[in-house]
Amino acid sequence: MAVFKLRVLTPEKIFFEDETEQLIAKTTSGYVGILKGHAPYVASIVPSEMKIKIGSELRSAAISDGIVKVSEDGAVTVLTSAVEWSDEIDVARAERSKARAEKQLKAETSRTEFDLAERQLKRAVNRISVAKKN
Amino acid sequence: MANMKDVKRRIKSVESTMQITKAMQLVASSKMRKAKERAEAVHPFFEGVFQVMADISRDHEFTSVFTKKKFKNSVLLIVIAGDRGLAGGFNSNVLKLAKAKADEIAASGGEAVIMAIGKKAVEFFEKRDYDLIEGFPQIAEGIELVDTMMIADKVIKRFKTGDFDAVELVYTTFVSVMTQEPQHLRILPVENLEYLGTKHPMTIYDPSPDEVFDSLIPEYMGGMLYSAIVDSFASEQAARRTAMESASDNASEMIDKLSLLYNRARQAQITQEITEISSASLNDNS
Repeated sequence: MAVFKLRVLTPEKIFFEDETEQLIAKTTSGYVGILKGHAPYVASIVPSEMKIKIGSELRSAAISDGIVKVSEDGAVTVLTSAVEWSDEIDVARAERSKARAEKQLKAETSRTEFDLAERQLKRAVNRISVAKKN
Repeated sequence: MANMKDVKRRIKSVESTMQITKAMQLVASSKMRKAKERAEAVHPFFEGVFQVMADISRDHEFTSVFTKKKFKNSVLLIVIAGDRGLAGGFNSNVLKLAKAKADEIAASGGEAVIMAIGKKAVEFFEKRDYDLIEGFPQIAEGIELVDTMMIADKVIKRFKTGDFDAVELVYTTFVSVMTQEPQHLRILPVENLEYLGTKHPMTIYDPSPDEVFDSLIPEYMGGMLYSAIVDSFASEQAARRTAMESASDNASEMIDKLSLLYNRARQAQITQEITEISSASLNDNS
């Protein structure tokens, strides 16, 4: 199959930079698969599982909020605040962060803090579920 | 004539101070190197985020609360300084700029609220008559993106509810090992995006350009804060390294002077003793 250039960037590092055959990510309107020759496209990514084809396998990663962009030259860029390979997720840490968020949600806090805790919970749950699936 | 014992004691004390300043200099320069690497790693991400934001605002008629230009003139100043002193003018320079900006806003009839990052910044604004809404001491070293994302989320929430209608950043940027400059930067509302790059009107936005733009804002804000904090931390270490280097130089100069004084005093004492002995033996012979 034909390959395209993919870069996955976070402010802390370049997470992935190589050629790949396929990228699967979950956007606000559901899972999309991107192959070579995709039309120029920009979409928001929600906390979910993202898959990148490496060799003959799809490697799985947990991704937080972000954005995927297909440029006119066919290069694909994923920008996100946090992304981890599923086999590198620290499940114990994710569990701790989940417990913390749940505690926050139960405490009667302000609307803002409630929203923050909810987002944190979503991310933690996503990381745990991605880690367990693989 | 200087007292030999006193001079000796002073030399010892200067020597031990110099050991400390030397050690601090070495620690600062290794921390600086690491922080610089982290600060540089942010660039590719930012280029990507800016590019998408610029594409959207150039190619589409769109509306976002984050680009609105109406002003009630209430501004959130996010001030980033260090957690510790002994870094030359690092803290005082950036805090001076922050204070000037806050006063400027107040003078033009606006309202400035402050969010302080770094212990020195928190202390500075607590002591004075400013509206400090939140302080984050001791987070710069070993900062992770999740920390700044949390701060960014809070700021965005409050921006949306209209607590303030602009967000500005005051921090120190690393120019070179010798120079670090205090900086003032507006991050919200997002400005001057329209002028970057060429048009790509064929791009599909899912679900819509507006929503993609708004969903990018937390990443933009969190990344911006992260990069400013890392940049400021690198500057702090560079400033400390320079300050400690000159302190060590001064100490070694001082030791040289004191040693000279000590040797003179010792020589004077020996001369005096010889004079005493010889005059005593002269007296015995007579």
